Amino acid sequence: MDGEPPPPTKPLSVILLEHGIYVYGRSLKFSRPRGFRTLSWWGSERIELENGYSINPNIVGGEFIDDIKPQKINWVTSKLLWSLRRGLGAGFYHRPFFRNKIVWSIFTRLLDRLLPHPYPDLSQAPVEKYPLQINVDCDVLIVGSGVSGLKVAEQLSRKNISIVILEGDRFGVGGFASLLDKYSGMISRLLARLRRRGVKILKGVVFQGFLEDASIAYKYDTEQTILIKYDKLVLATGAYEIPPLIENNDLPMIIPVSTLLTLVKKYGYNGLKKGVVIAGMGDLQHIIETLGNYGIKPIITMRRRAPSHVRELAADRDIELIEEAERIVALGRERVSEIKIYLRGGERVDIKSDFLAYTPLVAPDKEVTAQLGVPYAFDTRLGGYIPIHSIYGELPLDDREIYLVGGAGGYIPIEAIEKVGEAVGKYILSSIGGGEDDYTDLMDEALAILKARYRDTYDALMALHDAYSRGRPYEYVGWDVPPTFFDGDSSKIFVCPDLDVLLDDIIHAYRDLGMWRMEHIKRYTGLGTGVCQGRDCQLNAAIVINQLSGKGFLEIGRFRARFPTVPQTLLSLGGVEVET
Amino acid sequence: MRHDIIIVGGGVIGLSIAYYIKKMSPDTDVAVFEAKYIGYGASTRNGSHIRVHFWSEANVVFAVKSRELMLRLASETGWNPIPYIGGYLWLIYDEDTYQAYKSINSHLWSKYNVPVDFLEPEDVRERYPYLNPGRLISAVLGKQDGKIHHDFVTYAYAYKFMQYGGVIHEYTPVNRIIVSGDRIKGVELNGKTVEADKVVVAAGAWSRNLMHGVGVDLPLTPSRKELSVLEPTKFFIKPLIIDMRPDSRGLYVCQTPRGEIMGSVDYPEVTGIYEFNNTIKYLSTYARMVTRLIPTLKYLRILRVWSGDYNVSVDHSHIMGRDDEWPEGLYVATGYSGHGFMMAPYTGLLMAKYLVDEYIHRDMEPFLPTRFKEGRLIKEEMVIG
Repeated sequence: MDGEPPPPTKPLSVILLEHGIYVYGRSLKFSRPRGFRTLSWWGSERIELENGYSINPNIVGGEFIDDIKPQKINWVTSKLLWSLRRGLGAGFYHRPFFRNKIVWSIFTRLLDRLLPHPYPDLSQAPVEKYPLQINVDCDVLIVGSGVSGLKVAEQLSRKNISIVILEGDRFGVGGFASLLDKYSGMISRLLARLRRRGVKILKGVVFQGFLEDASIAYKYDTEQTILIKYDKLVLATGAYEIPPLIENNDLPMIIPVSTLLTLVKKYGYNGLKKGVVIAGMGDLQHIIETLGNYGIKPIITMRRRAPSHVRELAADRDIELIEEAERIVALGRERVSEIKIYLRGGERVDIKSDFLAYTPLVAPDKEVTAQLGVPYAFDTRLGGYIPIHSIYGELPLDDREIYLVGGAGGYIPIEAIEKVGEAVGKYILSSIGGGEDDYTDLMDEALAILKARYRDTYDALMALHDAYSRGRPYEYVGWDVPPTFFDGDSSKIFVCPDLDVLLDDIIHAYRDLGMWRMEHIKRYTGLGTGVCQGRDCQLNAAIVINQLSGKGFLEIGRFRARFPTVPQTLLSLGGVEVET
Repeated sequence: MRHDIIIVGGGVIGLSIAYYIKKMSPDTDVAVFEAKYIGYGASTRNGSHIRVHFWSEANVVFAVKSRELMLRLASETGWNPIPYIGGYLWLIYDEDTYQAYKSINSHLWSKYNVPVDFLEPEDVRERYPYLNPGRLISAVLGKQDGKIHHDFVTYAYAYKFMQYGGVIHEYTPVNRIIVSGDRIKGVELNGKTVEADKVVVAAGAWSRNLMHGVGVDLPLTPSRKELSVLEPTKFFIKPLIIDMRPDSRGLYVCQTPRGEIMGSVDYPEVTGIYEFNNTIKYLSTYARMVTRLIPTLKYLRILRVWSGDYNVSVDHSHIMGRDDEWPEGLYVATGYSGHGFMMAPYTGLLMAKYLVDEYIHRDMEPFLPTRFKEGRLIKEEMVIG
């Protein structure tokens, strides 16, 4: 774990992209494969569906297998499947047509023939050995090596405390900030300091969450399960990203800005020249700067009139700025090639583009915090469902000392995140008798940065804090990213890319069956039972239901993401010794 | 507020009863009160299978009828839960068990026209090439058993019931049942009283506590069972497979037609009041057991885990109907011991007949709550998982 990281191997998806292979989603609901992100990444027969989501750096797995023979579904089959699918909304199999056994059996056989499909190797060689479990014992476990996590570690490492940091990514540390050229230096200095002080950083290890009898992490390259014992836990996982509802969002290269930066910066992908970046993100200036260093000139667009700092930025760098965009439509056959922006005034701007990048709504309840069952608030300015906790990050759990730190890079300015990380570090130190208690000053500084640059986010944080201290439910809805999906073809908008739940399906469940509770939407459409377990799709669905029914988000409810954070092999779990 | 019949519990049992009452007697005013959302408990947390092979005659008779109703559900309600009759496969490793299955097949299962096939070890290897069955002596294939989408069974009853004019109150927990003199008065919801002539307790694992409130002690113990699901692959495990090796910890594994492989082991044992959590004990034991049986699964990944409960009665069979010593108007349908989902259709039909016409069908008689004090326990030993 010490020393320089090995040069990153290009993930399969990048190699595919470089070879011009873009296989995009096709799922037939009840059939296999399901959504375009439900890729089974094992065996040589698997297909890789490329679309920009599967290269999301937050999704672990699959990217490092060498013996892949990607298959591309031919155009005719793809069209046939797509046309079939339009008739197959959620619950399509309840329709009288399918009650006929013969029709059903013809239908399922057709799918079996048409769809290339992961099929396990049925050899009988029994499993002889399971990879051994690893035990980790530390005072403080920090999950996430982004700016927040590192800053907390920096504070704590001043005292004699054993600290372990887990990072899900196998190569990179430093989170979103490490993707921006401006902060690279700061991150490496921080890392060097931590290394000197003996802080351990485990890379390629995902914190899987809480079981009743253990906390588990997963080292996915060696297939080992890590059993962790800790006194205090700091969750600094930032935000997992949620694709917003953009029309035609099944097209490859409609991607979160962090994925875009990962592609160009980490993996050296050079197939991009021009594209549209949806503005309103915390570090817009540095994002544009970094992209510029790689020869990519973006166009900025936003829904409202641009605030002065965005205007100045555009003028300063000679970048085209398109304000008051009502609707954004991405076009292309196999990947994005053109973007049409419909303006409020009724005009339209057409742009030849390689990508459409956005900072998604963030949801700090992603990942492991979603398993904790803490009370939630809803605030669109902070990105959706937020676990209610104090501003210093302590979760209100009786028997566990868990601290939730940080925000989402790209959404909250890195400078503010740095201060918060430092403050939380000091707060934890003071709670174990470390002395200093100047964390409040640091917090005030962080809030001042936020207040000066992002008034909305600041207000949201304050309101949330207020709600926490009064212990009452909190809901704020004021669209920062108002979806205008009703204008589009709702049979082509994915709410859940895992299970191929379309906007149509949610509308059908609400209009025809009167379902509006998230639990019912989940059980009827299958939403949230795939790889993401609702981390990505739940908010999307809630937005749709809210718009259709006018019901509040807290009323619509949410379901708990369950263990594990990322799918984990049986092989690795078999390696854990339990008393029987 | 007043209703003719109140059903406590919006699970598949309660909703099935509600549906059949409305179907038989449209004018009866029926309300269902559910503490969470419909299907919260074991109705949506189960293995989604149906079987007819039980150890006791009463359960076989009941399950055969229930299966017929289940298969007719699509045409009856318009909700197609896509039954897939892929069978149950019991892998047998000792002579005594083999003889016991032989004997029950000839005197019980054949009698009700649901005989099983006995497969030789070579047949098993040929038909199920993915299995690593070890020193198998035989396998029992129950061809009449199969899988069915459980959520849609629950929804079918719920929506049909609402279509008939019934009302389901979600997030409306019943705090207690109110008795006045020797008869039921109604139920209490957050301080508010709702009156009814009849109250049916179909509250799954929560039934025992509710019944305690009116001085009735049902011999029930909820037991938590953990399940997990693997990422979807091609549908290749057609039956539900039960590994009966003594050290397999009751392993069962199956695959849904949409490709998810699901299974469980009976470890660790957690009984009483608990949360729906999961344990590393389960995950590790299951991973070892299932990869021993189907080695190819070792590289498949667990997508998610959950747990549900078996509401286990002393004789592993359900309790339905009433005891005349209870306050008048109080009924139960609970204690299904792990097979409630599959018994729901026939339970609904018989309970509705009982509630509407006061008619006790002979298939229901063995399951009356009076059996415990009268010593007529049902000898049911086939509980899976």
